[in-house]
Amino acid sequence: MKKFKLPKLKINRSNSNNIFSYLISVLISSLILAIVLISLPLTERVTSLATYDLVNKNSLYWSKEYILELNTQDDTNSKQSIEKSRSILQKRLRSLGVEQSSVIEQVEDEKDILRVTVQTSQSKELVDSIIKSPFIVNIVTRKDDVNYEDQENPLTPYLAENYNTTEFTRRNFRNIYITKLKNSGNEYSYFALYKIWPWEKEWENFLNGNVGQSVGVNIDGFVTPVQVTADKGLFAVPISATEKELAQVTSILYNSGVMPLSYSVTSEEEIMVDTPEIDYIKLTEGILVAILFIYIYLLLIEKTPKDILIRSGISSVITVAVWIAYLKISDTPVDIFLLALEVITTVAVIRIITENVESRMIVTVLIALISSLCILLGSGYVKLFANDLLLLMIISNLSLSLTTFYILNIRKSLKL
Amino acid sequence: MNLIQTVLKDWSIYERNMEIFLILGVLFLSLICIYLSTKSKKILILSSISLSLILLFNFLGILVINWIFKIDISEIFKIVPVLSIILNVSNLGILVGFFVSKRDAKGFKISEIRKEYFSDSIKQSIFLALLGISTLLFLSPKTEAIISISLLSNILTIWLTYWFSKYILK
Repeated sequence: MKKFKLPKLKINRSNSNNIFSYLISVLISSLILAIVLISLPLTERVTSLATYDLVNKNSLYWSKEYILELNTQDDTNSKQSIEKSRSILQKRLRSLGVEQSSVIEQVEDEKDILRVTVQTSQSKELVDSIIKSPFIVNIVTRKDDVNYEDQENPLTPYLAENYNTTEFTRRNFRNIYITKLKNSGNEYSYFALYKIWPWEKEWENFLNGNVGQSVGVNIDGFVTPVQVTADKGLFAVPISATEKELAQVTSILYNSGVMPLSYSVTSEEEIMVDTPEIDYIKLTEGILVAILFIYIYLLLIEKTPKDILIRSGISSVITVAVWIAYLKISDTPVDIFLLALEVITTVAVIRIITENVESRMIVTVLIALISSLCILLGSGYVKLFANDLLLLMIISNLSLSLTTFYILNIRKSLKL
Repeated sequence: MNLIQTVLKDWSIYERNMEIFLILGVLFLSLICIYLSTKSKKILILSSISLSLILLFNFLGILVINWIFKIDISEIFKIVPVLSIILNVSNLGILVGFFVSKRDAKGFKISEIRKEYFSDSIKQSIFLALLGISTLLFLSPKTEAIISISLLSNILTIWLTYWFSKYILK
């Protein structure tokens, strides 16, 4: 019987490089395909093991109108105070991340009112806390003739009428910092640390004069008793918030300016939500068809070299697909109309930075700087858009580098 | 006038100030960045004109949308100037990038970059127009309005900037 010999497989450096390039190409192709499939609408129906449907923010939106009656009787400069109250309310709502809000001044039955309208996906409880409390802070001291230990009146230590007011208000403090500290029960809970201005000596004198005694912080008529300790300058007020979000709301209320007027909520009414309705399935399909259509057209008119068109086309698809896949997998609620704007901007920028290599750095830096500034100074949708765009700029630059490597690798492995 | 009156009456001073700070901040930041990259006053002037034009066209676009198409101008429209400036800055980036890469070349004249800018502007205009038209079918009227104002303002600004470059980049 003739002996069968297996052919010897010669692996030299050039062969192994080709195999490696080939494997890398296969790996990247599979990865791109998987991401594109995840990003396409309704692919979540393929398997029940993982749910990665895009979470549309539209269902989370609610809208409400609050009527606030302002107490302007004791104010001599009410017009200025009303304007300041409007600005502080707006600042508070924006700091919380409310997408749309308006604070309009009106006069009804000779009473000054503020009509506050919000439309947001934020929690109702948090928005209510922001709007309903003017958060006017005043430090108070105990009255000599009041029995704070009275068992029959347990509310005595908490009512503002049982205290003497002092000259100290929120204005005397530089900042109020909310943090977790150990309480008397040796457990961590939230406290508000009152930080003073360096030149504020009166506050130091006040604390020194009340060491070991109980004073109070009156916020909108409700007093939180505080024991003054011998720790120099430390004034920590326990706050009722137990959750991080509520502690954040307290921080916003403390640090968004001093409300000049007190007010009360006279009515609140749910109103219709007004957001641009877009079918995300149609949109995703539309965007992909649009990208394809534009690139085919550009290929036909031969204004741009084929190589650049292929690179920017693949980069655009990868960027959009990675972004949508990320939003799906991370379960991030999305404003579909914002997604459309982000995708259009990104696709336009990718084409520019692919074709004009010398402009890639300046365009990326400029957009990153503009986005950062919008995150810092913007609010609502502008902030959300800028935040997403900054991430998209990073993804698009990475996908552009990946595409360049991928195309080179394919050419190498297929010896084109 | 109704729109301007609404802004003056319904926006709080805080809102107006923040909006002005944001727009001016974005403009100054872009111009500083462009000047630091190019060290050219001519490009800085051209960029300033371009950014001013985009804001002017945005304003006119919002007025037209409100008056003629009776679309209610809500907070969503605050995205328009940001989106437009980003697209405009990417167009100016082409000019800046090309200038920076060529300025040290022998016999370089600033007028040469107009030729390159022209060809890039054609491509960008075609691309933006196609992108806008092809996505309009899938969007809501408000989103369509935002995209239309931003893209049309951009295309107009690109060509007016090119026209101004004839006199500035000499």
